[in-house]
Amino acid sequence: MKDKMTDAQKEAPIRIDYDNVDVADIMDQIKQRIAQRPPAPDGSPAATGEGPSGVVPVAPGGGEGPSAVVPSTPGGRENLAMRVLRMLIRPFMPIVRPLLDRFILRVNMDENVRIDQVSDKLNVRIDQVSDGLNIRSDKLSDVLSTARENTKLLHSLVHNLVLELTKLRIEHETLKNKMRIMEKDFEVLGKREKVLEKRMIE
Amino acid sequence: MKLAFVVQRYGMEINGGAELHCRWIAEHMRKYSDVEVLTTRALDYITWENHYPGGEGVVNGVPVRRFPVTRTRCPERFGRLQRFILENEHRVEDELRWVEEEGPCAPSLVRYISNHAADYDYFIFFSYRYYHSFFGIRAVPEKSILVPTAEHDAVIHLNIFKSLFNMPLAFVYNSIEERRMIEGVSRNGRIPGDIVGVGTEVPPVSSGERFRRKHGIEGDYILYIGRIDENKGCHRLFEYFLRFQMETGSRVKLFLVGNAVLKIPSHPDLVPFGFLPEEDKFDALEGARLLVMPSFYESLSMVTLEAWAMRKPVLANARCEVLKGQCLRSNAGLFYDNYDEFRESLALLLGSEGLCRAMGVNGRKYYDAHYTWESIENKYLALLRRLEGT
Repeated sequence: MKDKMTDAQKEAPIRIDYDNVDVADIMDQIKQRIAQRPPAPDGSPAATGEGPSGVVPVAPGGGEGPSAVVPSTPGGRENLAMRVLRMLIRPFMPIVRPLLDRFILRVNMDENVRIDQVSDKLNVRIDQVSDGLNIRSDKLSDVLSTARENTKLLHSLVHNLVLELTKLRIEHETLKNKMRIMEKDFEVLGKREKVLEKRMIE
Repeated sequence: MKLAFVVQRYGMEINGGAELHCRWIAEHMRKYSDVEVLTTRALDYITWENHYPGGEGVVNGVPVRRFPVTRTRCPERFGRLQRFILENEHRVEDELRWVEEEGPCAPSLVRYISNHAADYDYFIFFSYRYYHSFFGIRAVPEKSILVPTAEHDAVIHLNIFKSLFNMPLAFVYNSIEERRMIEGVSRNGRIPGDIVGVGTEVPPVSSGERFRRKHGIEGDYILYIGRIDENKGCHRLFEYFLRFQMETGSRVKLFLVGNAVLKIPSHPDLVPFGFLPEEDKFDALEGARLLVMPSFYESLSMVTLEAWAMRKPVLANARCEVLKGQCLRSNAGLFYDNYDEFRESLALLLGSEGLCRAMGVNGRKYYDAHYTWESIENKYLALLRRLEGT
């Protein structure tokens, strides 16, 4: 069962398949409908979205009201000039009209709607890419901080190794000295042994 | 199998949030294993003052062991510290101080967990951001299951939580969005976990007519259930709803069920009911056109599930990723990011009985598929079996 709904403002209908409600599709249509609305005048509550309640913006230059009243002067003179100009151009219109039709850009609402949709999709994609980049950036920053920690550890390891090697070298020197002393002691003891042996024989 | 449920507060008086979530899970898991709740003596979630008697007791058939809170929380001091760590470069020590200030500071609870780890098979911690989880999980990481109940707030990005999220044996998430957020923050994808949430029970009979008769209500109304608080987005809801009324001339009323922390604007279309008993709450839901959920931060929203169980559509705040995701997955609710979307979505729901009915049916299907107690219990049991096997 399919149905169509329109709101009081006769805007684009929101299509709903009641047997298979698709919230994502309904929300897309709502967003599209909002995007299609003419922008509210600057500073009005509808434009800012934060203003006081209940103020309905008046369409500028609408068919009724003060903005639609044509001023008598100097606007009257302008209208006269325009009429004269139109009369002068009229004979050339069969030639000019095809050129105007060809080169003057027309407002294509379907195209505008399509551009809005593409723009929405692009925004979503940009958000996704941005989220992805944030995640990657977090990961990279983690990798970087790990690498920084590792470098610090390696640095302190090298420092400790140098210290240990220095200590070992000193110890090595000390041991060498001790060995020399012991060799000399051994030499003296050998001499004493010989002297004692001689005395015992005598 | 013996399970310990560890939570910041526990009691029949606590009717929402992770505490109620924990109580319901503990009460349902009693059917399958020995269950004990380890908690503090606190009732007030702002100051954590000791309220309940200490030691062992029983709440609704579940054994509860309570430990004293040694330091009450000073909201002003906590607020200052939180602001400092969220807005400034700070050290890990500051974050640890934040955990202690956050509370409820109960060192004897952590000591008990550490000393009696062998007495329990698993410790199921609720709410990642409180003292009991932060230090409790560190005491028994090899037996910890964390139900983070995380919302999209700034503290989740504190450095101390990155390591915490990598410690437990397993996770029980409330939603896909919560899982994604925690994995994004801590890259703990290797830790087993499941998206479970919490079940809810709907009374077999509820009557919107009874609610209307009792309170003398005529005409349509939409319903908000929960604490009426700025943190729940109620101020923005009032603003949007009153603007909607003025612009559209709608006669629908907004009924507010729950305790008010925020001043409710005096307007004939905003009708506060205060806290209502469960039966009245479900009667109110039954009679409502839809439930509106304006909260910015939710890790699950039990009220939303209750609305779907009652076949009611939901209008949710799109800024809350979880609510938006639930609406999209269930096809049972619309959402708004600004006033224009609020206006269009509400007008659409109020203007179309068919859409409300179809969304209600979808909501009920979603609830039946994921949030009946049978389904929740089975998910917990499957996770425990999986852990036993590893």
